[in-house]
Formats: sequence, structure tokens, C-alpha cells
Amino acid sequence: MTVRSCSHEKDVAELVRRGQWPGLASAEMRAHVAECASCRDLTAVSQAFQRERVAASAQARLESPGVLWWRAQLRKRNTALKQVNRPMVAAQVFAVVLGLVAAMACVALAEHSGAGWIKPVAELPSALHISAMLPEAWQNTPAPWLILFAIAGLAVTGGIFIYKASEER
Amino acid sequence: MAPTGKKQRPMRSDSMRLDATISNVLAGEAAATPATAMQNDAFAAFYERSARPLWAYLARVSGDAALADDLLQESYVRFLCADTNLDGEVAARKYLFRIATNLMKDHWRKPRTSSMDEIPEERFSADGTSGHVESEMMLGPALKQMRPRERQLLWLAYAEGYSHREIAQVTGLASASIRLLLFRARRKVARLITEQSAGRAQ
Repeated sequence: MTVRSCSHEKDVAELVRRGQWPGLASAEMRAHVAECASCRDLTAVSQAFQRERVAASAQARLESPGVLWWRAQLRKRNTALKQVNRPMVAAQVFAVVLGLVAAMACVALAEHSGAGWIKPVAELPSALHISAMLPEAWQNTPAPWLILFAIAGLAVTGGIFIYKASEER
Repeated sequence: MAPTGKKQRPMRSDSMRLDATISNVLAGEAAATPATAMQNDAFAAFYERSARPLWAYLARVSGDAALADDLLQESYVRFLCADTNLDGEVAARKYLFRIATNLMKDHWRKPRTSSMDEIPEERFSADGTSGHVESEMMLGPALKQMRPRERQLLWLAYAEGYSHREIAQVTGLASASIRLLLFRARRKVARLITEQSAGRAQ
């Protein structure tokens, strides 16, 4: 499609924008618009849209600016708070992970050194028939309690995340 | 900085000013700090001048008055949260229209559509349901037959008087394509207006 525009369009648009069309337009300009399809379209469309703008503006039901102002301030504050809390949440997650790793290391060390208390704990998975719940590939895993710990760890961290998410909401 | 729905990172001084503001609010104090009060007043004056044209844009382009109410409020809240240094009211107004345009685009994208041009027209045809804009003007029926993108470009060009470059800034489209899109849209709406006025005359 070829875009054909008239050289008078800017002048015509300016007249319409100032509300001077057709009253204050020169006779030459009016004669031109009567003959030029592009300028005719422009005047018709511009006038219609400007009338529509006035009509639509009158229909607006506006909220108080103060309410919007305070809402924006609260949102800014919440964003700032979230940003301040971010390192704390990261530290909490890190602490939980570190705790789990330390616990697992302790258990592994105790098992290795043959501590008496670890035996019932080590036998807990077989007593609970944990292996029956595992996929076939994991049936012969040497330390089923590791899976038990992993599940417990997941449950704990999942709980923490859910708590954090609900707290945020 | 693009005024999208993304969250802005507040500056340290802003947080401090904000803390003072919020503590006032939480303490139930009516009077704010002098700086806040001045900004609040400046915003109120700006809002008074710009809210009605922005609402008209949102309502006529979306065809939904209730949606226009929501998007108007969200636009101003995001405008205030952005804390962008704008050079004068013209720039601020343009920035506000850009936020509103992006919000409208986001709203339309939600159901599944990826582009404004792919949105089915039925979604925008005001058929008398509550919340839809009842336009008594001659332009109303013609606007209903236009695509949302066309309505948007036409409104910015002929109701707001923006140049092609300014429309490009508001909509994010290329300036070169706006010329062609606007030319087509103007021809289409002019034909519809002529047909409607001829229909009324008969």
C-alpha cells in the first residue's frame, strides 16, 4: 500500500487541534480540503476523535489522588522491605542446609566409628520397610537411611518454604 | 528505563524517606513530612490534569470502562513507584501513557494471545454488557469495528495529538511502521464515519 499524504496535512491538523477548523480556516484551505481526500479524511477523523476525547473524559470516575499516592508509598515500602529481607531468607536457607549436612555427617561418622546408639537408627529403615516404598533400582542401596534423611530434609525445607510463602502473602 | 510491570529497585534515600512516610501513616498522623507533602501536592495537580485524558484513552481503546478504572489506578501507582526523573509534564504524561499501554498489553496477553493484533474482536465489542463503555458519539460504532492496535494508534495521533515518534515511544513500535499503520487505520475509520453519517442522514 502506498502512503499518499498531502503537504497541507500538518496545517490542517493544527487548525483542527486548535479548534479553528473550519471557522478560522482560510477560504483557500477550505477549498483545498474539499478537493483533497487525504485532508478530508484527516479533518473528519481528527474532529471525531477530539469530540470523543471530550465526551470520554467527562465519563471518567476518578479515584482520589491521595489514595493512589499512599498506595504507591506502601508498595514502595513493601518492595524495600522485601529487598532488606532477601539476605536474611538466604541466610536461613543456608543454615538449614548446613544443619542437614552436619547431621548427616554426624550420623555417617557415628556409623563408621561403631557407636552403639546408631544401630537402632540404622535399622530404622528396614524396620519401617522403607525399601518397599523405593523404586526397584534403589532396592539394594547400601544406606537406606540416607534416603530417609533426604525425605525428612525435603519435608523440613518444603515446610519452611511454604511457611515463608504464606507469610509473604 | 522501560516502564513495564517489573519491580523497580528503590534508592537508599527513597527507602529512608519512605520509612518516614510510612511511620507517619502507621502512627495515624494526618500531616506528612514537608518533602512528602510537596510531592503529594505536585502529584495531585498532575493527576488532576492527566487522569481524565488517560482514562479516556484506556476506556476507548479497551472498550471496557471497569478495566479502564483498574488500569488507570495501576498506571499511577507504577508511575509513582518508578521515581524516574522526567523532564517536564509532557514527558511525564508520555511516560504515563506508556505505562498504561504496557498494562493494557499485559492484560490482553493474559488469556493466551501473544500480540494485540491477534486478539479476537469479539472481546472488545461493547454489546451493552455492564462495565462496557456506552458511547453516544458518532465515533463509538466505528471504533468497535477497528482492531485494538488501530484504535490505540488513532487515539494517540488524533485525540492526543502525538507525533509518529512519540507514538513509537508510547507503543514500542517502530516509527516507520506507525506511518503505514496509521494511514491504513485512518482511511478505514474515515470510511466508517462517512458510512455512519450517511446512514444517519437517511
